[in-house]
Amino acid sequence: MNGNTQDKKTRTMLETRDVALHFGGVKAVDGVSLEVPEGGIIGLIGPNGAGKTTLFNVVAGFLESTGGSVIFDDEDITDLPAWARVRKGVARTFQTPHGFPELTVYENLMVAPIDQEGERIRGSLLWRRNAVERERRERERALELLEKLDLYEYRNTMVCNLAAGDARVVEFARQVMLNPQLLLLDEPAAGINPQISDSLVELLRELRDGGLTLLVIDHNLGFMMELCDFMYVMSAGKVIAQGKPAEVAKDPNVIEAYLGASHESTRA
Amino acid sequence: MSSYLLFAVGILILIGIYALLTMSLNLKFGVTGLIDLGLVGYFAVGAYTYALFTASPPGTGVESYNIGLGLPLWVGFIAAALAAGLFSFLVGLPALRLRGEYLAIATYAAAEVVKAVASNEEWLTNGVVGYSGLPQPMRGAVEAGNSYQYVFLAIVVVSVVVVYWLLRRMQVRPFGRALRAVRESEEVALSVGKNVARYRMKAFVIGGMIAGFAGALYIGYTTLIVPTMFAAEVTWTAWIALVIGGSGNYRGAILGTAILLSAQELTRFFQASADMASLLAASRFVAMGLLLVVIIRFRPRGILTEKTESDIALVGD
Amino acid sequence: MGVVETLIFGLVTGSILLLGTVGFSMIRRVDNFLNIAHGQMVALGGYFGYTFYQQVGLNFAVATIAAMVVTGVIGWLSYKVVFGPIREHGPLYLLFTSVGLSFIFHGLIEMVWGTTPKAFRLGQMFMLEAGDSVLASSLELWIIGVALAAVVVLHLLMTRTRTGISIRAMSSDVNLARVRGINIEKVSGIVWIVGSSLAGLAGVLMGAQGTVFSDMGWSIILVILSASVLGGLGSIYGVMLGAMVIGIGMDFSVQFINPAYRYSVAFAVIMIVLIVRPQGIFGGGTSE
Repeated sequence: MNGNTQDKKTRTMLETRDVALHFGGVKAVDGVSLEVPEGGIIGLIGPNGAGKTTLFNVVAGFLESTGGSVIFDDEDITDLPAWARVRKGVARTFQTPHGFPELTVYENLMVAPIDQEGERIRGSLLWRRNAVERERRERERALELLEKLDLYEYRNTMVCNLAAGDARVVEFARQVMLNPQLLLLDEPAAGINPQISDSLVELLRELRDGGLTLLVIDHNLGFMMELCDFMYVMSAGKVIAQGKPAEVAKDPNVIEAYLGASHESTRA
Repeated sequence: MSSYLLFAVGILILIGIYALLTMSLNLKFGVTGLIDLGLVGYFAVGAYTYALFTASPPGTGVESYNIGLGLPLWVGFIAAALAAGLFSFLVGLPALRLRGEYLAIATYAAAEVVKAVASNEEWLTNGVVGYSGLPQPMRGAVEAGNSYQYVFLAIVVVSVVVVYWLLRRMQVRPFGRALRAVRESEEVALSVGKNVARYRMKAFVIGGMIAGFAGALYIGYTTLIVPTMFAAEVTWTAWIALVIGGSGNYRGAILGTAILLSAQELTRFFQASADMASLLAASRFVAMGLLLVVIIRFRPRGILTEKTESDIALVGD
Repeated sequence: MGVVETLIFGLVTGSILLLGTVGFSMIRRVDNFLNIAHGQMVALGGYFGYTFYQQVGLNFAVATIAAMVVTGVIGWLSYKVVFGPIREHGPLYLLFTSVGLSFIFHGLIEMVWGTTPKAFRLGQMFMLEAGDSVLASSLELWIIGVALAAVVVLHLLMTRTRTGISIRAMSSDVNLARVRGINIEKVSGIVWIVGSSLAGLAGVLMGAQGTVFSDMGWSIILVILSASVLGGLGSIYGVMLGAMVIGIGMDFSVQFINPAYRYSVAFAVIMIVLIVRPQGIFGGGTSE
């Protein structure tokens, strides 16, 4: 529909159709339609207050839209509760790092895997071989992931005792443990210094090559330019531009939107 | 000498029964973060179910009550747990949509309704007269009246150990981890695909069942049941015990209960006359309140245990 | 019993409830927690009223005022000594502490006055009659009148005085209020004194209708909670209305159901309101 896919046979992982969120006279999201193809790394940028995180909340099911629908992998998930969407394959991170404060880093990761037999009452009491095996496998995965992200030494530290930057990485790792098909990342590069931002791009590309589709919000435009295949630009609840990063950077509407805010304030 | 021993056994039995209550509270609050001020409600439902199921059918004696199924005691215990579980489920359906103080008020209200029903629905509970002469578990095991106390104590100890074992087992497995995650942050739990509402309900119902079972045990001990036994103090005793012992772990729950109840019951030693009795009872209120206020002020995390030890899965190598 | 009589009964119950609930709601707005011990303030007011009137022999009005002063001071002290220091622990700890304090007060009441109910014995009263039936006694009319007066005074306090405006500022945003120079400690203190003495007044009036009994603090706090939840924990006018509705509702309900379930009606209201519209009729003040 939007022509951002080269190959028409690629399936659309996520589609929002005219999604709107109005409350108390404010149109936080005002008719947003976008598409995220499988295997794509799609960026969502825009000035503060454009409605990007609100859109994430609607897609992930944390806010109920007042109009429009959310289609994931050809299935209308508009009415599914947030936890059910995760089980379908849609995962998200939060703008400020959210974790389980008084659980250790290791436990934070281990909570994530979907459908653990040991999470049911009977499963936990019987603790059969399947359940034991699953726990062992997930444990291996978790520890490997922690090593790769340089957090192994913190595995037994409670998340509330971590620095914000580390907590953000833990949240990211936790969501990766879900084996999602679509990952909504809200400001993954915030507060991360430039040297790490390159390896973050690396890591995200690796994940994409492994089959993950990404929709990313961030304010670090350099990072986004390098990372994304395609970008949507939002302002005041609407999509005002879309295209490859290079195109979007030159789009006068986009420049206006970003400068518009400061322009307004100098005028007054 | 033996009367002191019997007194001690009596205290131990009470400690055991209350320990079950405190552990059920720990599951709901310490592990899952649910603020339940209606414990005595599930306790009462279990107790009355046990009474109704095991009392001998009316008409065979001078009883004034309506319902007595005369079933074997083990049926009574199971029925008590199930009834309390069902009641918890029904209360939980509306109440668990609430959080914090609102959940607290709603659960408190539910327990008060139970007490009102127990006092007023004479056709069901025989009102304020209640039941008496209820059968005791495993009574036939010993001849002499005094030795039976030891038998009952054994039953209580076994119950506590079994419940403790089951709860610990669930705690260290993914189920317990999921409950703790729900306690820590519902939002994040949702973001990892956990059906938060269902987990809260599971903890609520399991906790209710344990409390109901404790209620049945209590009636098996006292052999009688009247509505005044189910005052809010039962709830507060469990809460204070949990706060003393350190919320979040089951050993603390048992220890806290032991300390609190020993202190409470030992004051009975000093009861000289009937007048003293009510003064003593009133001073117990004051003492309980003081304890709660002081602990919260100076050691809100609990006296005995800080939340550092083996409840956190430490990953070695 | 006729509709008018029941209505007046309900207004009386509602009036007393209003006096008890207003203070509770003010404390909730300003200090952000549910003070369960407020119910014991009502009880203390009733018992002190009894002592001053029956045992010391003071004139009823004087005894009432004395009881109000005493409960005002006790309330203020409980704030200064017990609740103030642990303010930062959050509403849950404050709630539990207030329960502990309730136990202390309840125990003290029983220790000092014993467990048998105490009768006020106000003596003969002027009765309002309509034809055959007695509509209301002068006491009941007084109670309604006092409540009305309290509402008016409070309204004036909240809208015309600096203190009142400070209270409203604190209830919407404590930090902002602090930044704008409002003396939090002082305003809180005033709220506690006013709120607690009104509770004491409620207790005296409750007792004056018959007796005071040692459990009354616990019975009343549950209905206060119900009225607050109904009216909306954040709104003082809301809880006043809520109190009236609950009062009238409870008294009408005994026409249809077993009077012992009077309080259960209040609880049913709590549950229903919390599920359907947790912010109450007038909204505001949900802690989550």
